Amino acid sequence: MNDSNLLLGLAVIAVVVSVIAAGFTYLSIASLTTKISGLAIGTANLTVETQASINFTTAVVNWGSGKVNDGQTQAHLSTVGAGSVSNGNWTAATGLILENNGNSNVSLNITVGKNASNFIGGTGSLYFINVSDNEVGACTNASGFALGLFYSANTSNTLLNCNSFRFDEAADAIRIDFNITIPENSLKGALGDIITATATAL
Amino acid sequence: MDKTQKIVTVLLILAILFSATSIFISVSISKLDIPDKVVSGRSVDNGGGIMIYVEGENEEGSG
Repeated sequence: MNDSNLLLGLAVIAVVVSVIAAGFTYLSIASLTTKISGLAIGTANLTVETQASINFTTAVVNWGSGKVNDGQTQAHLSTVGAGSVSNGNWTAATGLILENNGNSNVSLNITVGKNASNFIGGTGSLYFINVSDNEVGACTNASGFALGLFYSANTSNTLLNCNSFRFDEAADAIRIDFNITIPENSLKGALGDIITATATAL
Repeated sequence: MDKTQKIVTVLLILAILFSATSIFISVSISKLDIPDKVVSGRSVDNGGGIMIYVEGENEEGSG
């Protein structure tokens, strides 16, 4: 084989290998693109789980001991703002604070354990609850539910929903306020209710 | 083989080597499994509570 034939042979091999390499590269990039974009449906070797975690950082509303004032038929207690009590001598209290301390945005449901009749009792008792942002933008309200609006607390309702309760540190806390009316013939003694928050990772 | 032919030969050999390397890398990438992200998890906190003490005696039939 003379020198020219050797060069020709090498050139042909180089071209063939390069063409094959280009084809492989094209196919690899096309495959990688579908993996990154999630266009392909396949089986993953690794599952990365996102942790949903919520916590009541202010867990208790405690109005203490008191009664409906003489001459009044009912007292009104609210936790909005600094809290208020009218027509009664209970101690004003502020609302609950719920924080998303996980690593994922979550959907959120808040439920109560009682309704007005078995929590407060008597004639004309009222039990209302509302959810609002304690940090701006924490809760994106679900359809049919408005932030900052009082709804009747009812065990049969899936009460309140945030479509998205954020985990960002600057916007990961909501406030749950209550508004109750206690009639003079209400149940007496220690009354209470349990508030349950359920979060599901998005 | 003159000097120019030797240079061309070396360049062609390098081209073949680089192309082969390219094929190897492409095959490796095609076998790469990029994990999907699966989001799951649920958290329940039933630690919220409201408490009040109403002074007085329960009336008969109240509540």
